[in-house]
Amino acid sequence: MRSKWIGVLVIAALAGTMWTLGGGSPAQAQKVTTIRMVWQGEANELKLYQGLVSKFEQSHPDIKVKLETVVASSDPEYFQKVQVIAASGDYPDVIYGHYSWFPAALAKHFLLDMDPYLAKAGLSKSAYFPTAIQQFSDHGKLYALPRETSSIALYYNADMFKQAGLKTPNEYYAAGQWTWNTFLTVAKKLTRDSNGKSADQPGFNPNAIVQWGTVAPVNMPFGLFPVVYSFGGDVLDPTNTSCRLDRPAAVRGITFLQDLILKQHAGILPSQAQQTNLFANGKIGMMASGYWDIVVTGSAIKTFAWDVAPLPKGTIQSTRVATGAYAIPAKAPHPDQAWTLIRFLSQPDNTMELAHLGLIIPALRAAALSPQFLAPGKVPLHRKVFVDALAYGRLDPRTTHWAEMVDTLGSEMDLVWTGQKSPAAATGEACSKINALLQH
Amino acid sequence: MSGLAAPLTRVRRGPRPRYAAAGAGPVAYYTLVAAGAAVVLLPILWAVSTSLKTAGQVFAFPPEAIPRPFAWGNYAEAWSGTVPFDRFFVNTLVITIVPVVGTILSCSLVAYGFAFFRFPLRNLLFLIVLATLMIPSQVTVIPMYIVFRYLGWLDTYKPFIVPAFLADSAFSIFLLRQFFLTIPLDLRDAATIDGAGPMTFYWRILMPLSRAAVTTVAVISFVSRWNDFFGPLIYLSSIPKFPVSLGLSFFKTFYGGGSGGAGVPHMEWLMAAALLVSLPTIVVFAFAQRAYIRGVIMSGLRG
Amino acid sequence: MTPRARREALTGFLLILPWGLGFLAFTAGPMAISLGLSLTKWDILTAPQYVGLANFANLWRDPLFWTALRNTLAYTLLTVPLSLAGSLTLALLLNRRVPAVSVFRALFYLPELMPTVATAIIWTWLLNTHFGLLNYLLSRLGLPPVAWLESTTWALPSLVLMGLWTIGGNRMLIFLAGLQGIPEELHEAAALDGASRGRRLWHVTLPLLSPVIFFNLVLGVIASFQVFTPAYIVTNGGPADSTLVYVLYLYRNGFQYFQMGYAAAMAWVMLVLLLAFTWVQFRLMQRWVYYEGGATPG
Repeated sequence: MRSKWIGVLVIAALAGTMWTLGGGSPAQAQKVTTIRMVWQGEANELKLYQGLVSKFEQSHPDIKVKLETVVASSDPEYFQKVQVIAASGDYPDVIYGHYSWFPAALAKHFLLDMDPYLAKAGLSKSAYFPTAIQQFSDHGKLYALPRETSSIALYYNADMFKQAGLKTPNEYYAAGQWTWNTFLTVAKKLTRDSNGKSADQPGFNPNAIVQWGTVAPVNMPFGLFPVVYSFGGDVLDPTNTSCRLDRPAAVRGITFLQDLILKQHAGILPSQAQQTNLFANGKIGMMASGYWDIVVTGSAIKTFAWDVAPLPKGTIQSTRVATGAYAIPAKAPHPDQAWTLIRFLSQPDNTMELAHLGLIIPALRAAALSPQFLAPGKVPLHRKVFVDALAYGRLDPRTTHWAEMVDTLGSEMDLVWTGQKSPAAATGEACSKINALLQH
Repeated sequence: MSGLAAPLTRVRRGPRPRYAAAGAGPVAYYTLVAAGAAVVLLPILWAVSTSLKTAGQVFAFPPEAIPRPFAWGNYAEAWSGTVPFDRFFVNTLVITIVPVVGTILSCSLVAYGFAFFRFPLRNLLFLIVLATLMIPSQVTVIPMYIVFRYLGWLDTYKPFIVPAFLADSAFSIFLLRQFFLTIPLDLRDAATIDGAGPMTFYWRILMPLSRAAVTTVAVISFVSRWNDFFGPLIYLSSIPKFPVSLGLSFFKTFYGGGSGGAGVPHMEWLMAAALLVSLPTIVVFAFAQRAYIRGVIMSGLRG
Repeated sequence: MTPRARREALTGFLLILPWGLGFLAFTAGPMAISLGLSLTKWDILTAPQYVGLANFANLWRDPLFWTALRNTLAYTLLTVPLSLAGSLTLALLLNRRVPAVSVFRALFYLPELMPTVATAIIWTWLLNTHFGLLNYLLSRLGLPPVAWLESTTWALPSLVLMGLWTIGGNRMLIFLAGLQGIPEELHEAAALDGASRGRRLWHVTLPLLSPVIFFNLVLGVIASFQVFTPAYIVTNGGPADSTLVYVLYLYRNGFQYFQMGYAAAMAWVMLVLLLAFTWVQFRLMQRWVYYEGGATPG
């Protein structure tokens, strides 16, 4: 073991030497400041940002931008890198991030208060969707400038509805009949076994389903939470200190989903549907998802007409809203230049360029409501439902225990969807664990 | 049993089929091996077939085995349509080949030391070598990042190259040591009497004699470095420096955390890219095969 | 120490010097820091706070820690024997001088070459309840479908199955390399003496291969104890934590639950468990591992 401690000493000495040697940075000679922006982006977004950054560098010759693109294919990987960077004190000047990471970053005072910058620039928070501002605010101060936002709505296969002789969800909605009960009825009629029988007909064989009415909206969190919300339930109480999923309203919503899958056989589990892109493949009638799926899934649809509609209504009309934003770490070396870049990227024209890639709804209200963005006449025709839903959608509860809470709940819910546990028992168990978490 | 002179005997034989040792005649042998290979291969054939399908056919149900038409364009799209894979390829070659050379040289020396020489604390030190394999990298990545940051190595290839020359692969050290231990000490003593120093013995006798083991280390480290994802994800931040493993991520989307289309808008491009990416490793393996021909290893002895 | 012994020791030290330098420069520090962090509460974003052995005490009381440990042990107990036996059998089969054998070796090795993203997608498709190839084959045999990845019973065995896909991979290659060192004369001499094939395998091949078997056993246990990628990408620990393996839980604690100190404690518990196991193996080894070289193993 002694060699280990010798090792510590040697490494300390080594690090010390490097520190001294590398102390004087040559960058002081010029007046150009290089700022670093850590973000996650896809191939098309990357091309766009590279263009935007070079435009920015032309108009701001005193600032150079190093785009550090994390091509992590999942959020955990992205935040792992962000955390490694943060932990080592290697603070970037701009970080792109979103809802799931923000509560912790905020609680640990990791981010810079942006209000002074907003005031100086004469920017009004009301230019943004209120939920987007709310997501990144604490005690009235804004800690990240929203870039995009999204809500959950319902994708549907219009041809499948037509063939089954059903009204479309949008028609039901217009008639005020688009409820979870209607949704269930429709889903059953759209579910077919290999003999062509639908799930509401006698002799239907649930072991030989070839077409499903819907993807059961049970994904964590954007499938399950909207259902809980619209059944009038809550995930946590308003102070985010205790779990409310075991209250009757939430349990009713979860029971509805369990029945949809196990009793009515009208919903396929999301994992099953995802792997084979079943919706794009024309084997699924309905799917609750976010705006991004217009591109991700929609671009793969070649053989049928499809559209989007609001989520069905329970006791209330609801959905889930989530937002992504640019933030400046409190210890960023060049906060002023960072703000200049954020300001530039958030200009309406630059935001619109990003929006045109089709994956995001601009958090800037004027941009999201512009005909340019809403693109009337473009498939899906009712794409505006995503923007409308921002008005009644809810944010996830804010807790630093977000990831742990979602994992804990997810583990209990898995047992509900397979019928190994009743919704009441599972939510009871989940809530007692979540309450224990929230006490910390 | 240790009086075996056998390894010193030059063994050279013409190829001679030895089915009998497999348990039965050629028909039974090939049936068995081919059946096994078919099972293992099926998933890969599916990947190949997917890579040649049009977007509409990828998820056709019931699944179609043969692409109609063959969409060879997927490979062009995968190679240059989204991100510049030629650049990524060159990068990957650099952060694979150089470290593999480093691993072979440094780890074989270290293994030689552990296997052939007595020195104080040898067993304890070897246990420490093994212990470095047992700690999950998730808890050492932050301090590691800090070290590389102080050294100014972030966003360079040094974190992949320098440690490799300093025997950072405990796996390779252990593997080579196990092989070296099977080589008679008498052999070293004989060589010493003939006037060969320790390095001469290492280079002229030990390494040629261990060709199969050294090749194995080379192949395994080549493949694992070629496909390494988390190292480059953490230590590299400029896209022109990315290796292919990160390049493949451009075919996935993080929007929705993987809803709808499994987070892969174009499965056929991803599969085409993945197959292209694995080609060099297949070539390396094909070349390495020559080390696994029985009898050959003895031929280097008196050369 | 005789001068000769001193010279030998010096040479030995010089030879392992590259490792020593690399260890001191890149590994010892991070390992020591992680040990230090295991005594702290650290959320990554703010400074760590010393908490003594609280993390270890909390681990003892954490049901998920035990779940993860149990899952990992089950995975290890299933994977290691199966894949050792499978790889060894395969290596024996493919260590023949017969036509096309090198083609077969390459085919069996292919799974090891596939990039992780591709492997994960391939397997989620194979194991899909409704559209997967595996259930299709079962249905052809008249068997009911299995919810491979959705059932708490089958998810962990599914990961084992994925692991067994690479029996022709690195492990087999190492066995193959080991077999190259076994002189054919021994076999032939034994055959002339009238030893049956089974006896030759048992009395000649396996003893001579024992150092390599030992390597694959020790490394196999370490690797399967650290299994992470399939549980992370394919099942994400589910359903209902049935594939929550040790390193996945550690990763979640470290990077998602903001409990890096706790994760470090988990890491050191694992290190101690694996060290203990390895030490026992090295003791037991002396009974069954045969080093032809006669050198004293450590």
